[in-house]
Amino acid sequence: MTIKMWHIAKRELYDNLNSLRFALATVLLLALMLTNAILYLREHPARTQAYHNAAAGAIKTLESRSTNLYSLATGGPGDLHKFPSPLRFCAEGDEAFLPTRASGANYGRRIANMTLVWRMFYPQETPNLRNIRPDFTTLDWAFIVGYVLSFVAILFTFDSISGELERGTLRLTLANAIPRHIVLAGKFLGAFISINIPFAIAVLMNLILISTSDAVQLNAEVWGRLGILYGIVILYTCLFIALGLLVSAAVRESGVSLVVLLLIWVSFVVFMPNTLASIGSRTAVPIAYEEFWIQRMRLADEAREAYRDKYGDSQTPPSVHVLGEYVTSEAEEYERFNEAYLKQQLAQGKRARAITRISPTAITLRLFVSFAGTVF
Amino acid sequence: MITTLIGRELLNNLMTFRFAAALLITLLLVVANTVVLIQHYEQRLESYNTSVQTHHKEIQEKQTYSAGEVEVDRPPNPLSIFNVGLDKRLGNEIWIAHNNVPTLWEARMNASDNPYLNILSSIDIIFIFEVVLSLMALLFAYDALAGEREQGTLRLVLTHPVRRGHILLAKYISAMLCLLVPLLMSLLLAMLLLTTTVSISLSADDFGRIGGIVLTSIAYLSVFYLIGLLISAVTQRTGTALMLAMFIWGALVLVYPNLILAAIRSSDIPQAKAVSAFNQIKQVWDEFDRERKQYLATDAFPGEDPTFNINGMGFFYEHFPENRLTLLYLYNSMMTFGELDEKFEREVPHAQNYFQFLIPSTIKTAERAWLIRKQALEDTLVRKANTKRTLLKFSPVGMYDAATQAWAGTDLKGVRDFFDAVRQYRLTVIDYFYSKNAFASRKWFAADEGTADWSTLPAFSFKRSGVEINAKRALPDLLLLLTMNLFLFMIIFLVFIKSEV
Repeated sequence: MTIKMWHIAKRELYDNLNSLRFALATVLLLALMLTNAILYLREHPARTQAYHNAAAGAIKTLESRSTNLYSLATGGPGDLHKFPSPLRFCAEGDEAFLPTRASGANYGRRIANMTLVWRMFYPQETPNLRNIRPDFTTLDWAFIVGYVLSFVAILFTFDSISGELERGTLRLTLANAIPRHIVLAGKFLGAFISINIPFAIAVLMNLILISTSDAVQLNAEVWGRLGILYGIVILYTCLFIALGLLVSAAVRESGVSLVVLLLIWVSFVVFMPNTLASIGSRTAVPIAYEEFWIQRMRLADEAREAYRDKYGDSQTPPSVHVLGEYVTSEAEEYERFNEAYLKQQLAQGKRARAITRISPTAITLRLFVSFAGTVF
Repeated sequence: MITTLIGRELLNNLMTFRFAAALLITLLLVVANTVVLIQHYEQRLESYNTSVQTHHKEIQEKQTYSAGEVEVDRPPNPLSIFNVGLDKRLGNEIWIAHNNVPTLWEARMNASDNPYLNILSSIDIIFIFEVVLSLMALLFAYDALAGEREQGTLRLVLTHPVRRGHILLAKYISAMLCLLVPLLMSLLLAMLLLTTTVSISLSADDFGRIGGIVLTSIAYLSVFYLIGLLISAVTQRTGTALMLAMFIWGALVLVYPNLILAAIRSSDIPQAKAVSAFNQIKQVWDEFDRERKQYLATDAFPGEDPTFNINGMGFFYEHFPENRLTLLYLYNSMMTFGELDEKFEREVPHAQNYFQFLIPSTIKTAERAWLIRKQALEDTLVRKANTKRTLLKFSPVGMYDAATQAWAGTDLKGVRDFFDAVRQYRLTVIDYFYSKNAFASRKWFAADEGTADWSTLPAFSFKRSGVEINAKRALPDLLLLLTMNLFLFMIIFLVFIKSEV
């Protein structure tokens, strides 16, 4: 049985290898993957260098503050930078959108000649605000797999059953006492291998380019992650192959089958992730940053008022104990408020993502971002 | 004869599954997205209205002229529902002060702008057409000639005394009529939703703009249909034609725009031109600073203290904020006190004299710096962005996007219209200060003898440019699309005339 299946798979494979779509898919995927590698090699060293410079600066600041505990407690640890992920060529993710640092600093006001404790500031500006260039786009593995590879998978499978039905060769095959499920499995295998050949070639070229350059060192962990990502790609392509076979089997004409598949592809791959995300994000809108800022100022003012009511605004503090209590409670209050706002903002992103999980593409993109480590 | 041909083609096309599917999916996508887009527009409008009110209230509460930084807001463009362009992305709130000529790079966002929410791209109606209708156009075209050749019906038709050009024309006209049905129907439904929404009021100009968008959409559709027809004319088999059409679609719509934008993604490191411009701007302000210090050193008040020892409930600051990426450098200072103690009465005239010198000097320096900055911003940031836009136009998608943005007024020029108006308004505000003699007055920094008067401050208003300006901006790309149509049709004609059946 497995031999028969293998026969069918081989026939499919030979059919595909000689076809125009195979050549076109190879060219398309190779061009994309090579560009991806070249861009990464051009940009990544600069990014790493920028990180190292920034981190060195931050360490210097920290050292200068750590001469005594007081200046550390009031000044804070300074800027905390995110190390640029070596797997950014797989998925740019949030790294392309968010500033790469959060700062622990003190822009604080003083009370009774006493500086308050440092606090955390999370980045609030979207870099897009000053970007007048055309829409931001990425050319990472996630895009190549999510959009292009799924499209290719559909083009490889839309006529695999309906086409044979039209030509009459399916009847011929079935006349040879081969069970239908074997035919189906053989076709699945054939399509799977013929899609994976161009993709594997493209990925190999991409990885050869990246791993042989001196600009980046990929360690064992990174290779492990790459392996997992390839596994995800395989699952994702299998899904679209199965979908292609399903529609191809359900519809008698390959023209109709293609139209149906393209419509499914357009709605699930192109529109659903974006439309649903923008609907989902509406359900949990955090307050505007300015509003948040005003509320926070009011809280601080109230705490200050309370302190003044109690102890008066003398320039000499009443006692270390009383002042200490104020400083701690103020810092705690502030931190709680800050955290709550950050949580609100993150919740909006989470809500937007949760609803897009209907689309397999959105799930795959998310998995890519998570495994590439380019998530905030 | 040609009407018979058109009738036949029309029937052929209308009765197909792909027509029904195209119609259904376009209607569904457009209606669903329009509802979402209208909701989002309403939210933005609401946040704009609140912001305008807040800013109005804030300025009225400012006690001194020095503290009065007027803030103005950019209203959301209702046509951003069609093509969002830069309307949602760029800042929509900007401060106006005497010390800086404002540009879009200083604008902030007044609505909830969550950096942790990263939605890849915002969908608009034009994006749906861009993707779905171009796909449909190719699906209508790929078998138009190759299919008839395979079935042998083309030979049959040609046995009649029919001109080949007429066959092409009939095919083109009927397919375009079919493709127009989903386009126009979905647009009509979108318009229905738009016009029944209370918060959106479309002017006569807006209808003109939407008409322009429809025209551009037809030209775009036609380009893709003709690409499909060309493929169909040069290939012998429908299977080959289909594969070619699909891959060309993928390359033009999916791959090329992303590839080209990624390939020329520029780093954030300022160019040499920007660095030298920044230094020039800094020099201008340094010169200003020297003059200022010289004034302080030589005036009647001993020492160089810019606060003249005046102190009280309120604050004073001065600094030179800078941003090398957007070439921003300016002198920012404020001195504002609610109450002034009796003991400072002697210093007040000194401060008044100082500000009477300082503020006009700041205004003059800001204008000088602006002349350098304006040119440098054009040469660096704007040119870079425009290069990218030009490169995008190698795909019809890029032309279509640019033309519809220009119609909707959400392109860079449309957004910059607002900032031109803001710069104009800044001059009005400065004139207002002069008319109140604000710089020399005590009210510039102290509110103890009467507060600043904002009651007659002229209000800011912004009207989008007229439809003829939009048309002028959209015309180059529209003409490009039309030329491409003509060019493609000519090639198809030549190929089809010479081909054997």
